[in-house]
This record gives sequence, C-alpha cells and structure tokens, in this order.
Amino acid sequence: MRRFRYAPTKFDAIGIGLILAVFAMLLLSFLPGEYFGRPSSTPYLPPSSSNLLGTNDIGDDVLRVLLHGSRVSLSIGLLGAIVSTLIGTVVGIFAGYMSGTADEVLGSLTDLFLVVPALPLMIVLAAYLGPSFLNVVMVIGLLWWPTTARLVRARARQIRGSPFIEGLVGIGAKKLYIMFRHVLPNVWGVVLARFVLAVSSSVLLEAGLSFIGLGDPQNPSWGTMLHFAMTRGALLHGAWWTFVPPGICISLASLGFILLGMALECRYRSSTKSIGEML
Amino acid sequence: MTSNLKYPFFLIRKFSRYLILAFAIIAINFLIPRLMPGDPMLFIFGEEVYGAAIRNPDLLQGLTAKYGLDLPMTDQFWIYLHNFFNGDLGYSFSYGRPIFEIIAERLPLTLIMTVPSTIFSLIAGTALGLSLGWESNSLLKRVVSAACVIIHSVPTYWFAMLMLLVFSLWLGLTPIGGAPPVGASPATVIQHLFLPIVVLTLFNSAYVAIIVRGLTFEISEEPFVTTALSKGLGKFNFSLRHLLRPSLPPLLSLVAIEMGFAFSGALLVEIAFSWPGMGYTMWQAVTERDYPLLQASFTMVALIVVSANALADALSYALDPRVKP
Repeated sequence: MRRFRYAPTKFDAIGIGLILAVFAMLLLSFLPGEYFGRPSSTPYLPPSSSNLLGTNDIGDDVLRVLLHGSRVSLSIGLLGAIVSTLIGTVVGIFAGYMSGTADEVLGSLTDLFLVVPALPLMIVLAAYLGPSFLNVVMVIGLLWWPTTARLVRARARQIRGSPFIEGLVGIGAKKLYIMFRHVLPNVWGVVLARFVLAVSSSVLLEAGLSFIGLGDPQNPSWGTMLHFAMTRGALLHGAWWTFVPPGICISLASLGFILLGMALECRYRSSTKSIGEML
Repeated sequence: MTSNLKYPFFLIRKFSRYLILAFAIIAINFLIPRLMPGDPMLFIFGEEVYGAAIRNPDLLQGLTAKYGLDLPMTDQFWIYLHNFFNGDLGYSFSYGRPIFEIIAERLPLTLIMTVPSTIFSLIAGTALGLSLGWESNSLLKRVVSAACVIIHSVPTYWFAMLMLLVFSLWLGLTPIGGAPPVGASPATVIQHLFLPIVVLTLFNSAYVAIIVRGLTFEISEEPFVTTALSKGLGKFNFSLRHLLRPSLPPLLSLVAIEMGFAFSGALLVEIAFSWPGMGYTMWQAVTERDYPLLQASFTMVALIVVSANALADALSYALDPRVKP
C-alpha cells in the first residue's frame, strides 16, 4: 500500500526558516532605541512611516514592544521546554528500564498528569506563585513532561530487551550506568524531537498564561500584548495593529518548531500517528 | 462462565483509575493553598476577606473555626471533603456570593459552547481525516493537511479576536461578545453562540483530522484492507466499515486525551468573546485574586475533563470487540 508522508527535507527547511526568522526578531530587539518609532502622546496611532506598526494604548511603538516581546516569549519557550524534557526523559528512562514498582508508580503518575487538563492547573499554580518570568518557566516545565515521559518510556522498554543490554547486565554493569550511558544515547532521537515539539508547546502555553494575565508585567511577552489588547480595549477600539502582529509571531514561532519537530520525529518513528501526540 | 465474570472486574479495575484521579484532583485542590509559600489563610479566604479578617479578630476566629484551620491537616482534610461533597465550595468575595451558585450558573454556559462544537468537530474531523489519510496525494489534500498543522500552532483565542474584529467590528454581523440577556429569543442566543462555536469547531476538527489521518495510514497497511479492496467494495462502504470501524477504539482514546487540551482552548476563547463561562470566571478570579473561586473553577473543569475521558474510554472498550469476553 502506498504511503503518503511529507518529505522531511521540506519540513526541515520551512521549520528552520521560520525559527531563524523569529530568532532574527530577537536579535533586532537589541538595536538601540533610535531605530524604533518614538513613543507618541496619542494612543492607538495607526501604522505610519514614523511608527511602522502604529502605537499601543500607552502610545508605545508596537514594533518595539513586539521585538522586545520576542525575548520573553522565546526564552520562556526554550527554558520551559528544557525543564519539561529533562523531567520527561529522566522519568521515562527510569520507568522504561526499571520494570515493576518503579514503572508502575511513575507510569500512573504520568497517566495522572496526562489526563488532568494542564493549562487550567498551570493557571492555578501561576496565580498562587505570582507573575514572574521564572515562575512561568517552572509551571510549564513541571507540568508539560508526561508525553515526553511516555514516549521515552516506550523506547527505553524496547532497548531494554536488546542483546547488548543483556550483555551489560551479564558483565555486572550498574543500573544507573546502563540507563544513562547506554539507554539514554539510544533514546536521544526521541528526546530531541520531543524537545523541539515542547518548545512549540511552551511558546503557546506561555502566550496562554500571559493572555490570562499571569505573565510578568515588567517583561511583556507576545501573550501579554494580547492580554492588554483584550483588557485595555484595543479590540473594541479596532486597533488591530496592536494584536494582529503578536498573534502572527506566536503562530509562526510555534509552527516553525512543530514542523522541525515533526521532521525529526519522522526519522525515528515509522508512523505518522505521532503528529497527533505532539501537543 | 468465568470469562463473563472477568469482564466486569476488568471494567471496575479500569475505571477505578478515574475515581482515583478524581480524588487526586480534589486532594490537590486541598493541598495547593496549604503548600504554597505565604499565608495559607490568604489563599483559602481570598485577598479581600483575608484583609478584613486580619483587622477583625472575631471574623478571623469564626473563619478559622469554619475551615478548622487550627486543627491538624488530616482533620482539615475531612472538613474540606465534607464541605466539598455538600456543595460548599467556599465564598467568593469578588462576587459576594457562594461559589457553588456562581459555578452552577456558569458551567452550563461553558457546556453549551463546548458540547456542540465537540460533536461537530468529531464528525467533521473524522470525515476529513479519513479522506486525507486515504490513498490519493492530490494538491488539495496536501494543502488541507498543511492547513490542519498550521491551525495547530495558532492560538485559538487570538483567532477568536480576529473573528471578532472582522465579523463584529468591521462587518457588524455578530454581537461583540458577552452572553445574551436572560430570556432572550433563540435567534439572539444563536447569534451570540455562532462565532465561538465556529472557532472551536474549526480548531478541534483540525485536531481530530490529524489524529484520524495518522490512524488511517496505519490501518491502510493491514491485510484486511487489501482483501476488502480486492473484493471490489464501494468506496463509501469501504471507508466506513474497513477504515473507520477498526480505528474507532484507538481514535476515541486518543481524542479523550486531546479533549483536555481542547477544553483548555475553549476556556481561553471564552475570554476573547467575554462569554461568562468557566474560563471567563477563572480569568476574573485571577484578576481579582479571588483564590477560592479560581480553585473551585479549576476543580470543576478538571473533573469534567476526567469524566469526559472516562466516557471516551468506556466507549472505546464498548466498541473494541477484542476486549469483550
């Protein structure tokens, strides 16, 4: 039966292109202030030659806020993904390699976190911890690991059955040594693909948390811009330039990482089912 | 005979998982305010009541006694459980009403949006996924597949804002948001519900379509598909009975997991549409630092998602002939 799959090379190219584009924004945000439009005294100025993307509710240049927002959105995206992938990998390897009680406990913990809706729980935790950069990273990282754990566990279980592991056990290698020197390098592909997909998810999650008003008000991200557009009436004002650009940026950043992640995943998995598991 | 007895036991064991999960959510709800840094009373009473209680020793004593805050944790947990199952979810200072009343009023508003869009998107997404996953590799199908992936990476609530901008503000076709007034005619209600349901259906369909597309790929490799095709079955009959039927059980369990995510999306969409459901309530609770309301809303949302999961799981077992005795 003929099987249709995207050509990974195309995926790679578009994904990497989009990722480079959003990181270019991050670099541009370090340009000195005179390159951007001046803050004006009138709010909601439409786009013009002096303010390329217009001004927002307090008369700030939207382009400047947008570029600065890329720092927060992308760094939370990356850090959240690092934390969640780290936890997911460790849990997955332990659960997959150690069968029995450890697997059972970690497995049910993973299931529990898979079913409890993550975003509402994140909202509650972030509301208690208070809005700050690190809190958002921790909340995303601590709650977004279950899918990674499940996939790593499945892969680790496969590897546990292979002859070279039996050989290692036979020569008396310690469990931890086998797990991290021999199992880990073999699940690396899954981990990498999951990491890239997790960046995409945490960019979206950060945006969602900031949209609900839990972002750091000192460092507005793209999501914070959407929050202000909702709460300060830019939407009702018809000031589309304040909320269309950040939404496009969030989508492109997340799409870039999804495409790259899917391309990576195609190499390690034979089925396209994984796309359904990516978020 | 024994196999007939085994089946119910199997089901009980399977679904005890969900009971444990529901209990875990209620327990998390109890633990979070008590484990967070800061005064747990602030989180249990909410900011305003806490402020009043600090200045008024009598009130503080009354509240402490009500929640048993001077008792050991285990006793506090029993009081909490007792209150919870009697519908006493605490008091919201920002609304000046018992939380149970607020939720009883707003939960239906969330369900009236999410249930229809879930049903529509399950049907539309499955049909789309089947046709995307099967056979031809035409340009149209590739474009639609790509569109599904793109929709995946767009924030739902942002898309909702765009829809409001275009359809309400520029074209004036739909109301700018909010719930219809009490006792409004069905036409007005539909007008208010139209955009939110369209947005949610679009996003959830893309979701389901991607899953079904993947499952169809897998099933198309099975030998029985080749048999069915060589028998010369009609396309419609074939899709329904040989592609859709075998993929239903795994589809339902995958969809169940995704439902939590879809529900979260709906919560944020409510905020964009100022639709006073659970998501909007959570948003207001965050803004007002009304912790008791926030937590009770979370508990309700989580319990609904868990029950939806249990339901989907039950259906997937009922539809899978292999697990029957």
